[in-house]
Amino acid sequence: MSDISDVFFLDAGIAARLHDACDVLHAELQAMIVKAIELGTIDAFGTLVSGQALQTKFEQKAVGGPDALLDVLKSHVEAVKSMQAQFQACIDHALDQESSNVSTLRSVDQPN
Amino acid sequence: MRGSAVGVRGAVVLVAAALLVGGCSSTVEGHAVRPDGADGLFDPCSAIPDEVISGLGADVASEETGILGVRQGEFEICTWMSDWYQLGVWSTFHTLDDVRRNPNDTDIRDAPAVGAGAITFRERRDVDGNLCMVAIPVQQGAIFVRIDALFGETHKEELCELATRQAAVLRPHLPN
Repeated sequence: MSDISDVFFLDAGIAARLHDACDVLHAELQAMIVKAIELGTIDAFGTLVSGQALQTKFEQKAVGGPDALLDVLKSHVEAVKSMQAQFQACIDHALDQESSNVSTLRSVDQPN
Repeated sequence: MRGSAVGVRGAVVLVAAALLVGGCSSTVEGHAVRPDGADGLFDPCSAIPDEVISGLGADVASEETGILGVRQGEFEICTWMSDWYQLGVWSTFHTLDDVRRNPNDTDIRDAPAVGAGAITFRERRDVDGNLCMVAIPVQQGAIFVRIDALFGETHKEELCELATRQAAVLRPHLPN
């Protein structure tokens, strides 16, 4: 039995659908990033020092703090872009292979 | 927006003040504010005609109130998506003085094309340079027209120029 553990098979049609799904997810993440930035610009905790400290903590959950939502979302965007590139490579490979097959078949002599 | 510009208030402050005052006899610095959040503010979602928004190149169907639908204290917020940015109109009690006082606000410039007293400004925390706002002084406080470019997208126009241009178109539909 052959070892296929390091081989990944992906139908070109499925790759195309996954590629499109990445577009949708990318747009959703971009919209979420805008919302996180919006949250980072809201200060609605008054002038009490305790209120401002609380506001800073919440604000940094969105933007600027360790593991802030904004940074997490940005890393997700990069992951989606990487996945999409991989799916595009699958599609390109399938198209190249198809083109190669066409050339090969055309070069085969027709039987008399 | 700039609640930051703000020094704002809200029910949270009142609750905090009540707890502090009620829990001990020490003096509490600061001031509490309106408990009723955004009541009485100009509401951009209901007041700005759809055709004006679509004329600016934004998608009317993408209209959203608040942030992800959640109303924010002391602000009436309405946003619409365009192809590479989000257009936002934030209505608030806060003033342009609040913007000028806010250490997070930077690159403050006059925007006479929008109207007397209007300014553009940016945020120090906006490390990607994806945000520019126009602040317009009005009787209630201010109206902010905000452009948030989408992360990773090429800016087809300089953000503050775009914000200024769109604010000028919106101005007739905003309060005095």
